[in-house]
Parts: sequence; C-alpha cells; structure tokens
Amino acid sequence: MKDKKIPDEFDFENVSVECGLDENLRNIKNILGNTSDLLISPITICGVRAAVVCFEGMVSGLSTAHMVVRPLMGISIPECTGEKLFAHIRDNMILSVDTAVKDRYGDIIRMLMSGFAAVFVDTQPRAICCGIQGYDKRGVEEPSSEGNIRGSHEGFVETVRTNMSLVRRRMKTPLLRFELFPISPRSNTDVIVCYMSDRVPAAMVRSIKKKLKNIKLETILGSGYVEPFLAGRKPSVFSGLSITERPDVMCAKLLEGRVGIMIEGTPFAIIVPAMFTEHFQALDDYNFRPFYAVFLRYIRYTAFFLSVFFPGIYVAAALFHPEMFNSRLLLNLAAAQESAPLNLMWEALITLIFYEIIREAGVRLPQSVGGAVSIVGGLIIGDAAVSAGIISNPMLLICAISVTASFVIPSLDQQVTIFRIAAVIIGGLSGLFGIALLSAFMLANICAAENYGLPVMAPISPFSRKAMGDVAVRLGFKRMGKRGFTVEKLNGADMEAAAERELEREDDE
Amino acid sequence: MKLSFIGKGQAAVMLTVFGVIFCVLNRAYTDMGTSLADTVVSVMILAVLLIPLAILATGSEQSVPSLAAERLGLFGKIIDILFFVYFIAAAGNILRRYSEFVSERYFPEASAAVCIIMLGAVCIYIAHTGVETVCRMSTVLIFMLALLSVVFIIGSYKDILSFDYSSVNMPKLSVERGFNGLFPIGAAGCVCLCVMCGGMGKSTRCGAYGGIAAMLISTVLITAAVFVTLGGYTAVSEYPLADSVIYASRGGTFRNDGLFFSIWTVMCSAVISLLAACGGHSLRAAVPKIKAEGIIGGGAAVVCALAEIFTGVSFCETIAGSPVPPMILISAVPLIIMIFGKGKKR
Repeated sequence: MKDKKIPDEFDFENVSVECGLDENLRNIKNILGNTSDLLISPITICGVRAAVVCFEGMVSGLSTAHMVVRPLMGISIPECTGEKLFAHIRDNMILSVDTAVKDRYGDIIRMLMSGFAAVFVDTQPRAICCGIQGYDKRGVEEPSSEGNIRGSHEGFVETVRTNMSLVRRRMKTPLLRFELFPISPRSNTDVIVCYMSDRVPAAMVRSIKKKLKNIKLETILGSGYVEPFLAGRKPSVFSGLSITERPDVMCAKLLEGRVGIMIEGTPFAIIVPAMFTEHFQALDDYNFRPFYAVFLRYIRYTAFFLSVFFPGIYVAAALFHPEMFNSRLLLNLAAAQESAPLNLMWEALITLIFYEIIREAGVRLPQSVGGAVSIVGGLIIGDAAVSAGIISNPMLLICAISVTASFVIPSLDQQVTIFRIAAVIIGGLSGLFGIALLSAFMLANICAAENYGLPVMAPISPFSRKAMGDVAVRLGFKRMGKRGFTVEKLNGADMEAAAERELEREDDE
Repeated sequence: MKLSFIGKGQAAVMLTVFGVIFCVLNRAYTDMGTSLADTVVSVMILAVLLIPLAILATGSEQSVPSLAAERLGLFGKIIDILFFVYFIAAAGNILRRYSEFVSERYFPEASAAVCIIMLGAVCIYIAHTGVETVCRMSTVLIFMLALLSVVFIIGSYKDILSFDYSSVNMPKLSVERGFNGLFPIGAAGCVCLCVMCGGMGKSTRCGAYGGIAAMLISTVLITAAVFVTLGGYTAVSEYPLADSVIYASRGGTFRNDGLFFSIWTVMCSAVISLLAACGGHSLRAAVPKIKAEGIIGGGAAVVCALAEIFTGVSFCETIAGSPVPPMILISAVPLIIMIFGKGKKR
C-alpha cells in the first residue's frame, strides 16, 4: 500500500513515508497533533537536509548528542546526495546496537514511543530508527510481594527490557528465547513471551502468542488485564496461571517447561501453566536444608486449612455440635459468649469484614499512615469491641489465627478470603454438614481446573510419584537435580494436544 | 466421547470409597463373622462379574456406553438408557440414604429433603465438571482415608488390643447372602467402571481388580473396627460406624466424629457425583446432541431422591438394590458387545 495521501492521526498505520523531509516532518506533527513532547532537530549534513526526531524523556539527551547527532555532524561525503547520505548512515555507521530502517509511519511512531530516535534524510522515503532509550525507570529492588531470606534480592521492574536482562543473566543458554511484540491496538504495550525452546511444545508458544495478539483491550496496565485471556476455559476460582515478581522464580519455572509473559509497565510476570501445589513452595525451601524445608511446607499446608476453615468450623461446632468440645473448653467458651449479644456467625462475619476494611485501608493509604491504621484498627478498636462486649475474645482469637495463617500463602489470598467468609456463613447456617459440602465444592473446583492440558491439581491428582519429591517432601539437590522435571512429563498432562486444540478454537473464534 | 485420562489408582480409590460409604450407611451389622463372610462373597461375585468388562475394555479408549452406541446401533442406545436409569437410581438411593443419615444424626434442624437439596446442589456441580474431575478428587480421598484410619486407630487402640479375636466365628460362605450387604453399593461402583474404563486404556483390568480388592480390604477393616469398638452394642445401634467413631473418641479432648462426618460427606458427594456424571455420560452416548449432561444426571438423581422421600416409594432402592441390573450392565452388556458388535467394528 503506497498511498500518497497525507496521513491523519487516526489512519497512518500502513501509510508509507514520503520523500520530502518537510512533508515527513509535517506528517509526523499531524499524526501526533503537534504534541509538546515531540522533539525535532533539523540538521544539515554535507549540504543535505536531515532531522532527528524523538520524544522528550523517552531518549537520553546525552546519548542522542553523543551517539547520533555528533557522528552525523562528522560525516564527510564528496558530492553528497540524500541517497548517498542515507546509505552511508545505514551501512557504515553504528548509531546504536538496536537500529532498524522503517518506511511506514505506523512503525516509526511506535518506535519513537518506545524510546527510539528516528533520522529522516531529505529525498529518502524511509527513516533510520536508533534505540537510545533513556526514560526514567525504577531501579532493580527487592520484590515487595515475595520476600525471602537466603535467595536473591532482585525483583522485576516495570521495564520489560530490564526484566529480560534479569532472566538472561541467570540463564546463559541459547535455548532461552524471548519474543517481544506489541499487544492492544491502542496502547501498543510491549510484551515478552519467554520460554526454553527445547522444553515447551511449539504449539503452546504459538497459541499463547496468538491469544496475546488477539487481545482487543484499549490498554494493558497490569498483568491482571492479560490473565483472563490466558487462563483455562472452564470457569474456576483457582487459576491455572501463576504470578511472580522474581527473576529466579521465573527461571525455575522456565526450566520446568512453562512459558513466561512479561508486560511493559508491571513488575509482575505471568507463568503459564501453573499448579495448585506451587502456592505452597517458596524460594527459600531450596536454600534451606531439606528437613526444615519439609517442615515449612507442611506448616503452609496447615496454614491454608486454618485460614479457610478455622472460623467456619468454630462457628459450626459451637452453634450445631457443642457436644464435640471438651466440657471445660465448652464452659470457657460459653462464659465468654454469654456477654456477646450477637449470634456467633454474625460475630465472625463482623470481625472478618472489619479486618478486610482495616487491611484495605492499610494498603491504600501512604505507608506512614498505614501503620497507624493497623494500630488503631487492630488494637484500639479490637480491644474496645471486646471490652464493650460486642465481640467475644475466643472469636477474636480464632479470626486472628485464621487471618495470620493466610499471610503464609499470599498468592492464594483472594480465594482464601472468599472461602473463609463462605465457610462462616455456611457453617453458621448448616453446621459441619455445610462445611463438608463447601470442602467438596472447593476440592472439585480445584480438580476441575486445568490450563493447556495441565490439571491444576497435578501432580497430586493425577498422581505423579516422581513429582512428590518436591510436593510431599523436598528432596536434596543431589537427588532432585537428576530428575530433569518438566510439567509435560507429569501424569495426565497433555500440553501439546491441548495447545493444538486452543489454536483451532482461536481460529474458529 | 473420550475420557482422556483416568488412572487405575483413581478407579481403585473410587471403588474403595464406595465400600466406605456402604459402611457408613449400613445399619444391618449382625455378627462380625457373618458380616465379613458376606462382604467377601459379595466381592468374589463382583470379581467374576467383571471378567467380560475386563476383556472388552482393556486397551479401548471408549467407555462401554459409547461402545454400545457405536457397535449396536439402536439396541446400544437402549442399553445406554438402561445405564442412565441405573446410575440415576443408584445416585438417588445413596443421596436419599445419606441425607437421612445427616438429618438424623448431625443436622436434625433440617429435614432429609433439605439435606438432599444441599448435597444434591454440590453433586450437580461436581457431576457437571465431569467423570475425570471426580476421579481426580480420588487422590485427596486417599489422604482422607489414611487420616481417618490413623485417627480411628489412635482413638480405639485399647479396644483393638483387648478384643477377643478368637470369638469371631466365620460361618459357611453363602452365595445367596453375598447379594445382600455390600453388593448393591459395591456393584454400583463396578458399573461406574464401565464408564471409567474409557480413560484407563490398558490399565482397566488393573484398576478394576485392584479397586475391588481395595474395596474388600477397606470394608473388612471397617467392619472389624465397628465390632471391636462397639462390641455387643453393634446390633442395637442405628448407624454402627458413626457410633463406633464417637465411642472411639471418648478418651480424647475433642470428639472427633465431626472430622469423620465431614470426610464421609466429601466422599459421599464424590460417589453420588460419579454416579450422576456416569449417568450423564451414558445419556450423551445415547443422545449425542445433549449438552450439560452432568447437570441432567445430577438433577435427575436429586429429583429421584426427593420423590422417594415425598412418595415413600423406594423405587430407586428397588432398582439399585436388586442384583439383576448390575449383573446385566457389568457382564451381559460387555458380552453382547463382544459377540454381536464385532461385525460392526470391522
């Protein structure tokens, strides 16, 4: 398509660059609405007019001067023409290691917005784009959501190129592949799909890329925008994806044959597919001695159970099955409950919802005020509620244990919160029978979920004995290192066929 | 209608769970020796009945209802409807009996009908997720069974040690009595193998015989445990297993029968869901255009259970309790497919 029409801001994607420098600069201004952050530096090289175009703040001023403008000004070509000058710059000069020649306005604009500088030469219907990104970005810091004691303290940042380098530094193998491309038609957000080429079915990578490219959202501001498009087709409370902020975790998952997706603007990378048991694994498990790591893992399993069911079971047992308590304990509980005016179920609900309000306030407020909210909410209001006889001490204790237990598995926080409240309501209405039914529902929900042919409940069900070395226990590295584990080898995993099916469905849709 | 992956271990555990649910619902514990003998004979009969299925299904990737529809045409579809009716009757029967147990013992505030609706709603959801999901639940059920065993043994170790095992008299084995007791519920589990075999492939035989062996072992152990803890009170108890659990926890700080009850409920929902999902699968084999077959299967089971409660006519029990339907479905149908379906296969 070589239309000569002057592009406007809505229809420029496939319009070719014109020959005249003035026309090109005018078109660029037209397309971008003469935006204030557009910088155009006209220069004359050996008598030929040229211009360097970039966005303020997206490129480094120093790099532009040193790497682009100064070398261009030093060019000396006898009987110079626009064609000779362009060929000289393209063939003989390295203005940046990341250089591309583009001849469509859509491509050039996209590169300008990614921190490239475009060099236009009069009479030439194309531009040389040099990657000299210099935008401000957050430095590599410790991840806020995945703390650890003995592992690396580096976390992903909002810039995908930096994240790419964090992974590459840890995996110096030619089999590690990164594929960068823009998604979302309006925001053109950069995403990177990374994988080990020998461990992931090619169809799965194709399917993931296709799904990402088909996302029609106007903008992608976080990993949560992309997750629904990559999750399994069956609706489930438990997702077949996992999120990480750590490059070392990402490397471990890539080695297990998964695909990582990093998105510009968010430090949280998505890993596809994921299993339920991974929520109970932490990086420190592999740095600690195996016996202690096994102990910690069972602490996490117990914490999950306590965080979901403890308040519900207490409410159910106290309201419907008090005979199950020890007689002394029952008397103590009855004495504490005597002054509380509310039904146990309402008491638990009020306590839990009040906790959620305090937590939400702590998260949204500035950190300096967040601490004060915790003190006022947790200590003062909690103590006052007990003193006033609105909430009983045992209930406060049980809710506090449950909430504290949920901090052990932060990645399951959303599911735990909802199921905990559901357990309280069902336990309060129908006793242990309701709690048992909720357990059955939850178990079936986890077992039904799968993503790219990998059941979320794997390797527990379908059972894979070999994988138990990192689920039921944590083997030492001398034994674990020999396993060469990939998720595709798990019993019941059918990733290649599932990816082919996904591709067919995408084509149909 | 391919069931892509059901392991032999999953099938075995599901059959074991059928045995556990039989023990929970069984009111007719008579004498320890007689109960054990009946159980052994029941399982031996089931083992013989399973031979045609094991021959037909090993290596096949299709379930018996699918094979019937494919190889026997209209007659096969009628057989699939019979499968559906049997599965729904068995699911409705267990649903009704378990709900009565819940209403009598643990949730007297609600009637059995309310319990049926609550348990049925969960079972409909699980059945909707498919046979594979129920089978995947099985591994967690293994853990639950192990936990139950440990808790029970810790609670009743004094009874286990002090029981006079020489007092147990094994009566003469009787085929007639083998059709009672465990047989109806165990047979329902074996009929489920007709559907599960579609995902087991070469390991069908292993799953079937491993499963009934596991069912036998679990049932024998539970039966023994009931008599060891309750002793002479077994016969007068309404629900002997539930009472033996309460009795075994008498020395503990907490009465742990709540734990047992919760786990039995999860197991029971898995059993009912498996039957409903298998029913839905059979219906879809007969009428491929049907969608949401799990919901239809589960819903039909709930309706049947409610109908039994409100009408007082135990038609589900009549179908599921009779030895004839499982004998036809486990043995006769695979034989018919083998003999008359070969020509069509070619």
